[in-house]
Amino acid sequence: MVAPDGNLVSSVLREYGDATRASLFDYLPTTEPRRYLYDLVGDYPRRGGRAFRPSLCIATARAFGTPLEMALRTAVSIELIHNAMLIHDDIEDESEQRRGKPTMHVNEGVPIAINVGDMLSLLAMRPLLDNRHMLGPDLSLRILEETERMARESAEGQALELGWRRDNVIDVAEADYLLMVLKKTCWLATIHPSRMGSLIGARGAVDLDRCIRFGFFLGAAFQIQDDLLNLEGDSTAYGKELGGDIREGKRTLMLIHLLEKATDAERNRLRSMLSQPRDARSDGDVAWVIERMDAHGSIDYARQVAHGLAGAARHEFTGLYGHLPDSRDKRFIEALPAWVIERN
Amino acid sequence: MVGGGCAALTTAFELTRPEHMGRYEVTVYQMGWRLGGKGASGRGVADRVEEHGLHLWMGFYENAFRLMRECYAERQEAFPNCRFADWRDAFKPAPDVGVADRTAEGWEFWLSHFPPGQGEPGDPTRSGSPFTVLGYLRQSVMLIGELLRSAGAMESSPGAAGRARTATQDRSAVSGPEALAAAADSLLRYGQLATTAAILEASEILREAIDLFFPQMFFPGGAAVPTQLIEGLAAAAQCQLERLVAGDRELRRVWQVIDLILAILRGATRSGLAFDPRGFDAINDYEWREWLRLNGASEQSLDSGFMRGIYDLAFAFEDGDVKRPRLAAGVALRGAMRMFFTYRGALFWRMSGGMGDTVFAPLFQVLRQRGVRFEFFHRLRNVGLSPHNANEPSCVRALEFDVQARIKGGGEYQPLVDIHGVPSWPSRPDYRQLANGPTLAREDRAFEAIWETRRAGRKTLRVTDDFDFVVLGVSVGALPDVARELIEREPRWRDMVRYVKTVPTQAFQIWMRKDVRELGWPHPPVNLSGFVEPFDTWADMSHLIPEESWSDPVRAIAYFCSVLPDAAVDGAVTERFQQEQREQVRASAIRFLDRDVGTLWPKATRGGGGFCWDLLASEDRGKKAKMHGSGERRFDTQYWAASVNPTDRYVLSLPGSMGYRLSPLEITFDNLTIAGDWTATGLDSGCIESAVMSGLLAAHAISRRPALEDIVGYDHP
Amino acid sequence: MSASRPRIRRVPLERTGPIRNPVVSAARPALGFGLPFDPREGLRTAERLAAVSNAAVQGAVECGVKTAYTVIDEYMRRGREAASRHREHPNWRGDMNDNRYSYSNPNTAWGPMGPFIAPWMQAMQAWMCAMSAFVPGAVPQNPWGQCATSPAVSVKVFSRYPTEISAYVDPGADAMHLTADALSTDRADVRPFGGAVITSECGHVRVSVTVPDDQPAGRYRAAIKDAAGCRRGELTVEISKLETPPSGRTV
Repeated sequence: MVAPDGNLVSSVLREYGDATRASLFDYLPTTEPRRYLYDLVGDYPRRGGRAFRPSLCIATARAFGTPLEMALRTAVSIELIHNAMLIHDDIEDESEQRRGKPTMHVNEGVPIAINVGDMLSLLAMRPLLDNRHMLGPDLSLRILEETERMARESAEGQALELGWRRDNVIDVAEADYLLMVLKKTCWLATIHPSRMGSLIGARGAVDLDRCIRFGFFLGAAFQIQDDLLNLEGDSTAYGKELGGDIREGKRTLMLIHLLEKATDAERNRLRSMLSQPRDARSDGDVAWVIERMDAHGSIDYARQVAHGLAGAARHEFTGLYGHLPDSRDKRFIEALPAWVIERN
Repeated sequence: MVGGGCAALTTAFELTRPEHMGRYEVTVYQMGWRLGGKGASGRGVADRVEEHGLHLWMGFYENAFRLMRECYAERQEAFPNCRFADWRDAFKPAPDVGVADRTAEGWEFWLSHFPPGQGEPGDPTRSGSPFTVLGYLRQSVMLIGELLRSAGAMESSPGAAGRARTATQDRSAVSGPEALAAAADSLLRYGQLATTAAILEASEILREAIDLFFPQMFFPGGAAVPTQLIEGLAAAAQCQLERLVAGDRELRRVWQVIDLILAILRGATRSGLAFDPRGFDAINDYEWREWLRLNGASEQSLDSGFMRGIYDLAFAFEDGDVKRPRLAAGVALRGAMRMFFTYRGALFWRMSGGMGDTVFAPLFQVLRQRGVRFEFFHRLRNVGLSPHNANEPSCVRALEFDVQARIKGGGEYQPLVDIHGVPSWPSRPDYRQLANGPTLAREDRAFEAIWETRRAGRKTLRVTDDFDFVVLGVSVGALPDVARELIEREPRWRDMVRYVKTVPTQAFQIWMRKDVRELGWPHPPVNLSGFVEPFDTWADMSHLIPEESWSDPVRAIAYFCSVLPDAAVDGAVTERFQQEQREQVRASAIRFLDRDVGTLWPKATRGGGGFCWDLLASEDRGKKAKMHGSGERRFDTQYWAASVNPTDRYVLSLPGSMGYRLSPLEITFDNLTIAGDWTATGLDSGCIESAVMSGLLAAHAISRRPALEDIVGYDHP
Repeated sequence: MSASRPRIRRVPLERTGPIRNPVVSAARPALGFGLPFDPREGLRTAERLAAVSNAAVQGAVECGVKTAYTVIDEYMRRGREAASRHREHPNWRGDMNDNRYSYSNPNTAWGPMGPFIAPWMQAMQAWMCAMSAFVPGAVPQNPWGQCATSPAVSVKVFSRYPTEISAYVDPGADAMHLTADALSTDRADVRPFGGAVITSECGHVRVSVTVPDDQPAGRYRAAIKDAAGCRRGELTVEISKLETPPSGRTV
């Protein structure tokens, strides 16, 4: 599962990403107000990104034999929602960098950034409404309902994470973490795109609830790998500041593992560090946490779990899509579990 | 396949289609000597057909007819010498249908003639489901129009019919919502709907209004015009009914039907049935009459022969108590819509022989030709499950059978006999083929009775060694006995056997030396329902005479049936209980013939009351004839049955119970599928079509074929 | 007793119930969940994969991945239970949500989620608007078939210059009273012009467009709306002052 599939994944992501972006910009108005709104809505989309989510949607639909056009609008909608959430996430996490540039709220201030995020999610509606011409009213309505569900799950997951941080909840169990990841990350990143791709591609012949398992394992592996990269990745390629998660006090699998394995003294220090405001956490604190994670094997543990989940996703793939005829898209989806944990 | 009834054999037929290329090896396990379950029939003395009861085929039984047509075509190729070569030889449009109305002057019979439907049942259907609530609403209103026209023609004033016709022609084309609303408005003004002509016009406007306002009229605050029209029409209909109480009966009946249809329209609108994801199932907690009453149907209409006939044909009496008619409203509505609006050819069809000979013999022949194995004389005793495991779904691990008799020489049992060129099932097993035949004959073992425990041996089948999948096609009545482990393991099975109820039925058949016309029945031969209890249903079966071998000329055959009050104490059916029930049926039949049949056949009874027993034909000669002699003892030469065995009981569709049915598509026990008209078949009622649909669903559960979209009427409101 | 081979298992089914109402339920499978998942299979695969990678395996993988299986099983089970509890609920839509919001209830308080969910509410209302116009045609209702066909549209145009017009109307909108907005173009310096008249009859919509003689060339668009202001279609008018008609005749 090395070079050849790596190339396959990259080239598919590039192709579908380009198609999604081209269509996406059609949906961004260029009327007034521009300075405070419409010039800004395209900012995050323009910064690139892997287009992982829309690509999964399109590839799933195509694996069932449906043309790209049928899934394109839904893919655009997913990407718009994703970008809307990124803007809000950056505010909530008090992040300073996104894809190598300052975050929107750093550039424009929090109020305007919130509004731009709102507008992006509203703009995500139009492509879904336009679905009805190509997909018919029943299917389009269903996609709208599914999108509502996904948005709700994402917000609920985000609420959990924010709540843990605000109230400095220390005893977050692994199961709690995984449930939060299921809701916050997996629904938008993997579950919903798979479901929509299957819905469009198979026209309802596939039980969409099986996509939840596949999406969960894949998305969880994806998230854990993201969190690992945050600690160890190449900072220029990664695009965000390293160790930023620790600075935010984000509950990652590594942190949960560390809290469980730490000595009493270490746990106390962690607790007090997490209870302080973000600015009060020093570089030294961050470095200490990383070192402790290393020492207790939390980072290795998380990496192994990510591998395990990727394996589980790969297994689910067989049950879910195994019967489909061979195609580039099917091979792309098949290669994703390995790709999510091997990327840097 | 456990059970050789309609459903299981349908599944066998599907799984052995050539398209599956022999993937499924099918064995059917059947107790006793004949297939058919509740549809089994035999041949008795003089080769007379001896049925379980009355079986009617309806013109909307698309799946059942499709099966029969394919089966007959395939049989024709393999056995070209069968007399019923083409399916049309075996199934013919039935004569007219009638209901009996109770009035102050006594019984009156309403015979209706339904126009032939397009095509024949089982013809290919257009792709996609043609059944929509809107379609049914339209047809209902059109039917009102038809009935109004016929009522107008019947009205006493000579010009009424002409006026009715011209009224509709004069009305200038009203189109567009505003114009329609205006027209409706003017008609609904007080007193305007007093004449049939006006009501007819209103019904025409209603038809257009439904088309125009279709979706909105189901949303609260939606279009008012159709709702107002329905209300106005309903009020007018009730006015007419009251006016006509003492008047023309024909006219009154027409208005009763109109009244019921309007109640249906009103109810459909109010319950939002067109937009409910559950379709007609949404009203399954209501009792059918209760729902109609809630929606404005008059008591008169609810007590009409028309309504009572529906309950009689569906045996819809809880615990067999005729004072407790109960039928789930959604099932009834669905049945009524399918029955009246989607029939092809004739409303009813009848078989040219017993059901066993017409349906199950061809099925048996074709299936055996395809390689299906049949193990007769195997009665299921228990379904054994795998041990309970939280990580694994439960599966059937073993099937335990009583081997009721062994075949001499270990070969296959040949169950059919030839009667006038028709392969048929006999009323008793062929003892010559059985080991210990003479003994078994002498003991006269009741192979089809639950209380018969004598057996020749036992057999246990084990998963993977002997079977991979099980289709459980025994009726729900048998489950508490044979599926104890399943019921204990799974709460949904517990609920199902508790709430999906059955009733025993009773029937008798008489052969007479005179035909019914001579006996005083003035009308053509008929299927009549809604008559006195018991034996509210009479079917004239004289068309079977040529199939039987009477030496004494028989000129009429009559079948009577009805529900039987449930008397089983603690549910156990013993030999004694069966005898007692049989006695009771005999007594009821004799009483009926003495007292009530004179209403139908005035010349069959003597002046002072009492049936002319000499009318009954029998083959008895000499000593036996003397024994039976004349008088009511002669009845003993005829045929009667009390269907009290658990698998012979008719399955009910009681309000509130429908949600407890399980579908053949539900995978509770991994390698088990259920099949039968007691399951959630889509049609959900006790009839042949329902059983065939469930067989198709069971086949789908195993092999994904047929596609659910190809089961006609499965996707249906 | 040992089996000669492993037990054959049944293939999961896509659907386990009838589609009683294609318009509303959109062919939703009725609680079809297929085969319960075998967690041990996934663990074995996970172990294989982990063995290939550099990390040391066993204990850690089993622990974390097992938790994941427990989480997802519990999540899906809760969803199934909630769905079966809600089966008789009038708003039941057949999926696994356990706290379904009712969009028809104006009193629902969205709280802090409000700004995020509001756009979705607007979309749903727009959709209900569109749905109420949907009149199933006389053709059999195939849940997965194409939309009911749009009504026929004919256009009468009064214009000095070659003018190309296209009009599209939603299915079912022919039953409504329709109006067209003013025809406008992107350019700020060009004045919109109105006056398009629409009449509709069953299955047929007639549009009449009058173009002022001095209207600049360009591509104009107008929304077609019903009496409630819901968008029901679009009218496009393209005026060209440079084209010559075929065969050289003037219009």
